[in-house]
Amino acid sequence: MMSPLWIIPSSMGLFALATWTFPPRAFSWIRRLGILALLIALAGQVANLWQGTDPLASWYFVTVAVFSIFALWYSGPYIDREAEQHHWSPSRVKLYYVLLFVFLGSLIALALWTNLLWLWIAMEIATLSSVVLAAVPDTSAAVEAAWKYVMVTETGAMFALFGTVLALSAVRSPLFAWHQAPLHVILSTQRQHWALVGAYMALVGYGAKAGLAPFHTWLPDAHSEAPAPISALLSGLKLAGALVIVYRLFRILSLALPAVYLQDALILLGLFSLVIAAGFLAFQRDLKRLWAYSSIEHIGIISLGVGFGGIALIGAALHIWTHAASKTLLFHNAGTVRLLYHSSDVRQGASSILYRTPWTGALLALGSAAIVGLPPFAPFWSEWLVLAGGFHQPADRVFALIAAALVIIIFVAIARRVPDWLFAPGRMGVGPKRGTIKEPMALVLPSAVLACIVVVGGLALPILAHPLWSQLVGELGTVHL
Amino acid sequence: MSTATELAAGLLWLATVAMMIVKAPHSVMTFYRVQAFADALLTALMAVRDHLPMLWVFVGLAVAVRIIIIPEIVSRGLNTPRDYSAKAPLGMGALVLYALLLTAGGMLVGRIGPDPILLGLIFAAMFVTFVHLSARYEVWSMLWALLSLDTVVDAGLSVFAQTMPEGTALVIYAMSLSLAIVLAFVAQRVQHLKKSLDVRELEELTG
Repeated sequence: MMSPLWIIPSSMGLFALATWTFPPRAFSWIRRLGILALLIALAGQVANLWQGTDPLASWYFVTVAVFSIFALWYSGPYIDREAEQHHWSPSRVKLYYVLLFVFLGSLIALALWTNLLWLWIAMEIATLSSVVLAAVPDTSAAVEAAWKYVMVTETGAMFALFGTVLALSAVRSPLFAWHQAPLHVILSTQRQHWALVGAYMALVGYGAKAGLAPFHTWLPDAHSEAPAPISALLSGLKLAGALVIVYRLFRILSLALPAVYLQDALILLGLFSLVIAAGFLAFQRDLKRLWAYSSIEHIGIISLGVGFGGIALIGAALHIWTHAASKTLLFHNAGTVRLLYHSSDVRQGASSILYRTPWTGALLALGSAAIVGLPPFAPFWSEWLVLAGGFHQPADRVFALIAAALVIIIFVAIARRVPDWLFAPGRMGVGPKRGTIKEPMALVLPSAVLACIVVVGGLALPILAHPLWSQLVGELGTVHL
Repeated sequence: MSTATELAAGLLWLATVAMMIVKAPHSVMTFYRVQAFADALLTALMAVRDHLPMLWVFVGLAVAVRIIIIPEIVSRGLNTPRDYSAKAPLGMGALVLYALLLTAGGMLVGRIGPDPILLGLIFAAMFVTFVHLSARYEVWSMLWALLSLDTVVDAGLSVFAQTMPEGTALVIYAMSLSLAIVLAFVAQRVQHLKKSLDVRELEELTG
C-alpha cells in the first residue's frame, strides 16, 4: 500500500518531525517546504501521475491541499505577530507548528483514505491535534474551549467507532476492505435493525465531529478561541471531513438497509443545524463566533445535500469547496482583525474596519457577501444545487422549502450584523474618531489571493477542474444513498 | 474459557456502574483501576482464546497507561474536595435501578453477536457510561465518565479484534489511549487556570 494514500499524509508527519528537531529560525523554511510538497502533490494529480481512490477522494483532496497551503502561508505572519503580542515562548511556537503539520497530515488522510476504520483513526488524529492547537494560546477561554471540544467530540468518537463496527458487522461487510464495498461481497440483510442502530450511533458520533446540531455545542467556542489558521482548517475542512465519512458509511449500508432511514436522519440534522444557526447568528458580537455559527449552517447544508442525493449530492460536494474557500478567507480575515484591533468583538473596539483598515474591511465585505450565498459568488451555486436537488424529489420538497426559508433568514441575520464591524455607529457622512491602522501586507496578501479564488471559484472551478468535476458528477449524480 | 471472559466482562460492568454511582475522589480512581484491570484481563483472555498475540500489546498498554499513567496525571493536578456521590437512599436506589435498566437494554443488544452474555455486558457497561456522561456536568465527573467510556469501548474492540487486521486494531487502541492522556492533560490545564473543576464555580462551563 505504498502509494500517495500513505506518502502524502506521512510527508506532513516528516515535516512535523523536522519542526520538532530544528531550531525556530528554520520554521519558515520548513513551512515553505511543506507548501512545496503540497503543490507537488496537486501537480501530480493534475498531471494524472496519481489519483484518489474515487472522484470524491480526489475532489476533497484538492480542497484540503489548496486550503492547507493557505494555512501554512498565513500561519507565518499570523503566529509571528500573535507570539509577539502575547509573549509566546519559542517552545509554544514550536508546539503550534508541530501540531499544525500533524493536523494537516490527518486532514489529507481524511481526504484520501476510504477504509472506515482508518478514516476513524485519521479523524481522531485530527481531533486530538486540533484540541491541543485550540488550547495553545493558554488563556482561560482557550483552555475551556479545548475542554468542551475534547469532551463533546470524543464522546462522539466513541459512538462513531462502536457504531461503525456494529453496523458493518451486522451487514457482514469486511472491516478490513480498503475500498468501500467490494463487488464480490454480498451484504447480509438479516440484522437490519442492528445495522440501523449502528448507523445512527455513527451518525451521532460523526455529527458531533461535524458540528451538526444538536451536537454542535463545542463548535462556537473552539472556533472562536483557536488561532485563526486553525479555526479556518476546522471550519472549512475538518467538519466536512466528518460528513464525507458518514457518506462513505451510509453508501455501504444503503446496499443492505432501506436508504430512506439514513437519508431522513441526515435531512433532520441538516434542518436542525439551520434552525440553530438562524437562531444564534443574529445575536453574535464577536466576528469569529459569527463565522462559527455560520459553519453550523453550512455543514447543515452539506448534510441536506447528502440526504437529498442526486443533484443535491453534487451540490454538497461543490459546497465543500465553496464553503472552505469563503470560510478560510473569513477566518483569516477575523484573525487579522483580532491582531490589529486586539479583539474581534464589536463591543471592544472592532468596528469601523472599512475606514481604519480598508484592505481588511474590503475583504470582510467580500467574504460576507460570498458566504451568505449572493450570486455570482461560489456558495450561491452550490446552495442552489442542494436546494434544487431537494425540490427535484417530491418527498423532499417540504424539507427543501423549509431549508430555503431558513437560508433566507440566515442571510438577513448576517447582512444585518456585518455592518457593525464594517462601519462606525453615528450619523452618515461623519467619519470615525479613531485613526487608521497600518495593515501589514504579509497578513493581507494571503487573504487577497483567497478573495480571488472566492470570486472566480464558483464559476471557474468546474471549468478549470473539468476532468475531475466530470468524474465527480458521473459518480454522485445518480446516488440516492 | 467463555466463563472466564464473561467474568472479566462482569467485573468491567461492575466497575463501570460503581464509577457512576460512587463518585467520591478516591473511590472513583480505585474503580477506574479495577475497570482497567478488567479490560486488560478480558483482552488477555481474548488473546489466548482467539490466538491473537497482538492483543498482548493491548494488555501491556492498558496496564501502563490506564493503571499507572492516567491516575498519576489525575492525582497530580486534578483534585476536588467535593464528593459527587448520590447521598440519599432514594437517589442511590434510583441510580441502581437506572443502571439495572440500562444493563437489561445492553443484554438485549448483546444478542446480536455469537457471545450474547459477553457482548451484552459490554453493551450494558457502555450504556451506563453514556448516562454517566449526560447525568452530571462537572468537569471532574465528566472526565471520569469519558475515561470510563474510553475503557469500555477498548474492551469492546478487543472482542471484535479478530474481525479486523492486527495493525488497524493496534492503531485504534493507541488512539484511544492518546485520547485518555490528552483528556487528562486538558482537564489539568482547566484546574490550573480556573483553580476549580466544579462547574458551579466556572462561569462559562455551565453551558
